[in-house]
This record gives sequence, structure tokens and C-alpha cells, in this order.
Amino acid sequence: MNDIENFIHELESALSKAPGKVTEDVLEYYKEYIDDAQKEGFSDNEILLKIGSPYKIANAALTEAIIQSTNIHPGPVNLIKTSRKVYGRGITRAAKSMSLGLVSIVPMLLALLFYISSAVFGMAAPVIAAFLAYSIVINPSLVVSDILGQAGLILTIFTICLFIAWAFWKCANGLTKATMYIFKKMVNKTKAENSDTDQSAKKKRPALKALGITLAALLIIGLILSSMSGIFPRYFALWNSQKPDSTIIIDKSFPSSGLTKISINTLNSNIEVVSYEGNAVEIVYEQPPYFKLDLENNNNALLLQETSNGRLPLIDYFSIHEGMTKMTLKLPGNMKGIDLYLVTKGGDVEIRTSVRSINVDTYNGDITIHTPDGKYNGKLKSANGKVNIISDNPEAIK
Amino acid sequence: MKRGILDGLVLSILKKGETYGYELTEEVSKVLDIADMTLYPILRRFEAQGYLSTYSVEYSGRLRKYYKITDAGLKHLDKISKEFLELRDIIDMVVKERDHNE
Repeated sequence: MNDIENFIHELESALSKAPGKVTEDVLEYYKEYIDDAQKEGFSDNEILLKIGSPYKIANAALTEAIIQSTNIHPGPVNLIKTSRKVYGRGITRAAKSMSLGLVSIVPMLLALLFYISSAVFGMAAPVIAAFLAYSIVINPSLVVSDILGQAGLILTIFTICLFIAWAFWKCANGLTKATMYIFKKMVNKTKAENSDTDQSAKKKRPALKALGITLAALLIIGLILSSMSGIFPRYFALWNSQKPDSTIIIDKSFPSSGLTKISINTLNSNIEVVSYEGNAVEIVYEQPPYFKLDLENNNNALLLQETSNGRLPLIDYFSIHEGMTKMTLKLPGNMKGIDLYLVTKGGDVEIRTSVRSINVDTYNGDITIHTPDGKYNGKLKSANGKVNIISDNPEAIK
Repeated sequence: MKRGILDGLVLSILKKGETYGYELTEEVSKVLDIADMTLYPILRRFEAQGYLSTYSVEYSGRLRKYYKITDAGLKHLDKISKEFLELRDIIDMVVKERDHNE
């Protein structure tokens, strides 16, 4: 193998990882050049001296090519590959383009962050859809319009997630191009041109367009279905603290003898505890159409649990507002030896009677306790609300 | 700095007429010492940016690639020339100042 063949061989192996037809292109260029130079009567040594190191040539061509190809096909994989290459090369010439290198890190990291966000939303879409579908399956008691509504909500949330993912992806691609622009400057050390020809080379893919139209259609169908079922007004009523029209009142009595513990859990209803001139424990519950009340009476303990009936998806996981519907617990005036355990996410709690112990845990709501001497037993906790202890003599309701 | 000059030089050589790799290198090396520089990435970049177009012609049994400047390339050359003219004024001033002080 003579020196020229050796040079070509080294160049070829240094370019083995080049994308597209870069290797072919570079080799063709230098073979042609060497051929012409030989015809002009230069010796092999002279020619090789003129050309320089094959590794330098390969590195320059390779870096140029991957920046170019990432600019045309932006994406996380290409971004990482190119960044590794450019920063790897950059370290060797750090003194020359340190400032540009530092500047380029900002859009590069932002682009990566946006790609990750895009992936998160893209993956969240089917997960949320599956989760909502599951919530329909486990609530077979729903009326037909609500199944449509839930399906509509699934479609809406699913498509919105995908649109957000798409928007993040587009922004990330823009940031990748910005990074490539700085990389070009870094590598060329000349004024980089953000040429339009780069973009015109990219063809619009019809499959992507069809997908976009399908998504938009799904979103519209989803919105129509969910508004037909009245899910949106229900959420709005909850948020706006309005009692829904279809609220019903449930009134139930329990014998008070032997009862030592009453637990109440609500999602978004207020709880009021009062004493009255009666002999039984009475519960008056304003039930909105999206909640149901589970009652459990074990000998000496009474448990009241407000749960979602599935007609307002995800309500268990959000605390929208202070509750607008009310659950009133009426205790006989002489019933003092009782422990109260009250938990509510969105509701307020007000206690107008003295009992053995009061334990309250609220997320958004306020806690108000009326006692004759400002003293009480138990624990009060409100994550975002106020706790008021009022010293007055609570009057029994007749 | 030298590379910015190289960009302008390559385009101005191509403006005079189409040429091929070896000839171009020879033309450039008449003016600039490019032993450690390579023209290939510049040509490739110009091609990608649409400043020049290429075509191959058969020459003594093999293909020879010719480079031709485009309208976009001429415009870019114009821009570079204007920058160089501004630079020349600055250089003139600096050099005159030095002569004056001596």
C-alpha cells in the first residue's frame, strides 16, 4: 500500500460513522484532488503535505455533516449525538470558542427539557385515558349520558395531552435548531447562516397532517360529548359554590344509646355539628348528584363516608373549593361522652356542641369550634384554612 | 478572521467562472496559505446553503465535479464584500495612525 492509498484508507475508516453519503462525498473530493495534483506532476509526499491529516479532515466533515443533518431532522437523539460530538471536539479547541460553547448549553439543555416534557405528556395521555376508562368500568350504575360524558372527557383530556406534547416537541425542535446555529458558529468560526434552503429540503409528511386532523376531530367530539352530559356545569357549580339543582336531602336517625364514636369523611361538603332536643342521632345530608353517602353503624361507632359516585371524574383527587352542600350532624343535648373524627378535603367544619373529644382534619376548609370556656380535647388541623375557637355558650337547636 | 476571508475568496473565484476542486485549491493557495485548512467543508456548506450548485463532467475516464455560483451565492458575496470594505476603512485608519506616530 503506498502513501496515497494509506491516506484514503485512513480517511475512510475515520469517516466510518458519518451519516448519509458524507463518506462517499469526501472520498470522491479528495480522490479527484489527488488525481489532478498527480497530473500536474506533484509527488505523493508533496500532495499529502498539502492536504493535511486525514483525521482532521474527517473530523471537520463529520461535525459539519451532523450539525447539518440535525438541523434538517431535529430530535432528541440527533441533538444528543451532535452535542456530544461538538462538545467533544470543542474541548480540544476550548480556548477559541469557550464563550459560544457556554452559550450553546442553554438552548441545548432547554431543548432536552422540552423533549422530556413532550414525552411525559405523550405518555400521560394514554395513562389518563385508561384510568378514566377504568373509573367508568367500576361504576356500572351510571346513566347513559354520563358514560358518554366520561368518554367525552377521556377524549378531551387525551387529545389535549397529545397537543401539549406536540407543542413541546415543536418548541424543542426550534431550540435544537438554535443550538445548531450556535454550533455552526462554534465550528466554522465564521458568521453562520440560518439558510432557508435547509428548511425547504424538509417535506411536509402527509401522515402527520392526517394525524393532526384526526386529533382535532377527536377533541371536538370529546368536547361535544362531555358538554352533552353536563359534566362541565357540575364542575363549575362545585367551583363556584352553587348548590346544584338536583341536590336531594337525606335525613336519617340512629339510636344514641351506646354510641361513643362518630367519624365523618367528606370530599367537598361542609360539616356542622349541633345539639338538639331529641333522643336520637340525626344526620341531614344535602346530596349533590355527583356524591353518594355510605353509612356504617357498628354497635358503638358510626361512620359516614361521602364518596364520588363517578359522575364527576377525578373529583377524589382534586380539592376544588370549599363545599357548598352541607352535612348536619344533630346530637341529643345530653350526649356528651362521644368522640368526633371529622375529615374533609374541601369543606368547612363548624362544631356547636361540646363533646368528649374533637378531631378535625381539613385541607381547604376553615374549622370553627364553639365552646363555653374556649377549651376542647382533641386535635384540629387545617392545611390551608383557618382554625377559630370561639368562647360562647352554644345554644341547643329546638 | 482568516476563515471569513476564505469564504469571500472562494465565492469571488467562483464568480469569475465555474471550476473544479483542484483548480479552486490552487487559485486559493496563490493568495492564502491553506496548508492546514481544507476547502471541502466550505464547499459542502455553501452547497447546503444554496450558494453554489454542482455538476459532474467526464474527464479522462472519470467524473470531475464542477462548482458554479448561484444567485444566492452572489448576494452573499456582495454582503461579504461590503463588510470587507468597512473593515478596510478601519484598517486604513489604524495603519495611518501608526505611521503618523512614528
